[in-house]
Amino acid sequence: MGTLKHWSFNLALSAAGFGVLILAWSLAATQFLPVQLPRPTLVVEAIHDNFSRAAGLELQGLQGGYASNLKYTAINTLRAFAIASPIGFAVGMMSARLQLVRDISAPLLLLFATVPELVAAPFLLIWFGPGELAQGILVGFYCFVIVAVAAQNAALRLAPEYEGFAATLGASPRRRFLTVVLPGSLPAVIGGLRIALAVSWSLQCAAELLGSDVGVGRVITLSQQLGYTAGIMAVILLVGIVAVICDRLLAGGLRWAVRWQESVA
Amino acid sequence: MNTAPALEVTNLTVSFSHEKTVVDAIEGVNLAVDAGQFLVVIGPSGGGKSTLLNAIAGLVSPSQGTITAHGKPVTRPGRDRGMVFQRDTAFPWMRVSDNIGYSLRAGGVPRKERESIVAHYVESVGLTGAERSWPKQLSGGMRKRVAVAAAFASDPEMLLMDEPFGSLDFVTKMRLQELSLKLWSETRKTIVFVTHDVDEALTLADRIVVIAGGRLVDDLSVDFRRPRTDDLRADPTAIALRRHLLGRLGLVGMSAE
Amino acid sequence: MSTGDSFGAGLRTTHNTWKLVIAAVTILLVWEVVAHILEPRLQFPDQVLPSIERTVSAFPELSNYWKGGLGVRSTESGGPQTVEGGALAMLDNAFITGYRLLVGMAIALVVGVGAGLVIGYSAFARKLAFGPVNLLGMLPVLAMVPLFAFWFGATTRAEVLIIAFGAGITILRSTLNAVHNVPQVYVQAAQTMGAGPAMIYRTVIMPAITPELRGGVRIALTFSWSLALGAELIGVQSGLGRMMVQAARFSQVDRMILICGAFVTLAAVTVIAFDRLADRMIRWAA
Repeated sequence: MGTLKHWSFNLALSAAGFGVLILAWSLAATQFLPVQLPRPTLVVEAIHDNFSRAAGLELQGLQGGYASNLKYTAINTLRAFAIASPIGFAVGMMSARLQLVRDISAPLLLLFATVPELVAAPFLLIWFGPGELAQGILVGFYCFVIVAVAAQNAALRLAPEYEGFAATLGASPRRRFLTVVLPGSLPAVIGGLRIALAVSWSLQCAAELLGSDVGVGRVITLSQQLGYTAGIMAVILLVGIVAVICDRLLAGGLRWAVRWQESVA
Repeated sequence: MNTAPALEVTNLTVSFSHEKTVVDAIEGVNLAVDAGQFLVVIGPSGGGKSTLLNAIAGLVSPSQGTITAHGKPVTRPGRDRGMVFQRDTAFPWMRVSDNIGYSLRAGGVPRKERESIVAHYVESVGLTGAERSWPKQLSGGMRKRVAVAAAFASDPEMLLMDEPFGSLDFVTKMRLQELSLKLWSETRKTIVFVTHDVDEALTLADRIVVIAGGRLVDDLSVDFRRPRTDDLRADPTAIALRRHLLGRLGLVGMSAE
Repeated sequence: MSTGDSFGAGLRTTHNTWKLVIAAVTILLVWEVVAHILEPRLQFPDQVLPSIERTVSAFPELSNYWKGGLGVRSTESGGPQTVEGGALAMLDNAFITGYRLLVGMAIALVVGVGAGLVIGYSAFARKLAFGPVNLLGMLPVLAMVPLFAFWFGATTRAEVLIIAFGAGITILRSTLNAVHNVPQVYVQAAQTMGAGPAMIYRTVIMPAITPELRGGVRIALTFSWSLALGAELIGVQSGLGRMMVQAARFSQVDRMILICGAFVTLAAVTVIAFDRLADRMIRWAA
């Protein structure tokens, strides 16, 4: 009843918010040359003109358009996240219950949770050459660390009564781990998972900027050489939109996975 | 009796537009409370008793009807009506003495005067020595003492207590009931106290009203001698009243033996 | 510990500083062993993984990045490669990078928290800002380095501003979330004690958000080190990142490891300092 009205009101407000943003951008753009700060319409035009084939970039040896390069970036980002974060989750969980895993993972997690991840990029590019492998390791390792730390903290903080209760019901340690510790810790790992994915986009693009023949980072490098500011802004905007959509899907999926959780009012 | 009531609730209706809260609404409640009275509001959960209290506090606005406190219409929360909540409201980021002095700071009471009032209440609720503690260093019962002292400190004309001791253990609860009665007899403030605990009601009240299904269904005066001791449990009138109230809470026939 | 705990908390792993030391030594040993295994098998082992002693002995080579002064001549003007020169180059560039980071973070904190408190004040403004702030927060900030370099030149200003933007938007989102999550009962309690909106904001909302904000600022801090490095790797002249680019151009992994060490130490110092400071500020929190 009231919900639908409430919901559409919020949607309208959100749209109005974007309106304000676009208006401010347009006003600011009148003060600058298009090559400095292009109007929003020029950015939309850039997306339209170069979406499936980018003539200007083709001259510089880049295949395809924004869509195919965005696809490359997205696939690499999501693949690294999809492989590394479950591993991070598992390691983090186990490190909270198996002392051996804790001892081995602790120095790595402690170091890499405080270290800015990007510092590994120059080494990876030298060792593995510019390409998918170096990018994947950079993004994947970041996801692994962030998720592992979040999972370890979550499992260490899980109220001990649940495991104690399961034990009194006769559950073996293995069963307790799988049916109590894992699901019980998941809600506290959601934030870590979302941060990992959000920052992954940035890291993937940075790795591409530092050396790649394809991808959004390459488009940005070439657009920069052409002085095509609208093109740079266009692909950044596209990555942002894809990132928002992926974040929503991830958040929605995770919320479904922990739908048993009491919502804290 | 012959003076104007401290609190007058006239034809009060509060309904909620949000889809989930069909419960807790109240409808057409009339209530007059004399100055200095200890009124206990009891009723089943979801029956609307907390809504009534929140409306008196000015935290929710009436859909219909009016509330007048000491002659002035209630439109918003104010220092004239102190409140003790069920949840912990001692601000964790303030030390005990700052918590107790909060309403005085809000009222612009000068520092010197504030300190002496705080010192008085620290002593009278039994928190001596804990003035500089953070709330996290205190037990649940002690934190509740902080909340009670904070509510009394601004010298409000009326105190609203919303199941204040509901989450405490039995012994702590008894101690805090004792404390409430002590402060009440010292200050003679009007108190509106919401609870779902029949024994608590019988220990504290001058008068008990029952709110169920959003309506005021019972209004009983309680004139047992004070201080009320354990002997009250054996008093036939008290037993009858207790049974009657349990019935109102939906526990008919379960309380007898 | 009671027997009940042996089923629950007793199974939990524990932190052990000595084991950390052992692990660190092990890592160094593995590095050394691998480096010596690789050495005879590679044409240019120093361009893949130099040994520890080789790496340490590369320190004077960092003199190449010293601009000269303080009694130590630059190698460009014919000076020798010295330990002092290496140390000066490292300190100089570490100072430059650290300065940019601190200024950028300071702007991010003031603007991010300030804007968050202003927007968070009304539900209307919060809903209005929700979409744009979310989108801006999900933009790949590291990919915006060329854009900032184009707008402000490949200078300190560009780097400071991209840190301010990237960290600021993270802090803004965190502030908005935290304001939203303040338990309503605290606000109500303050109201019944006679506090007005300004006092409630100052004495309830602002302290109440600090524990949650702490996490957001810490993430922003680590990320802003990545931004500082990224800006210097991709364009901005001078700073540790620029030293790194020059070493990487000739695959001088030994130098890169030294620069990386300085960078990591610097970043860790700020994170630890922040943790200490935050612990003090919110010592009231459970």
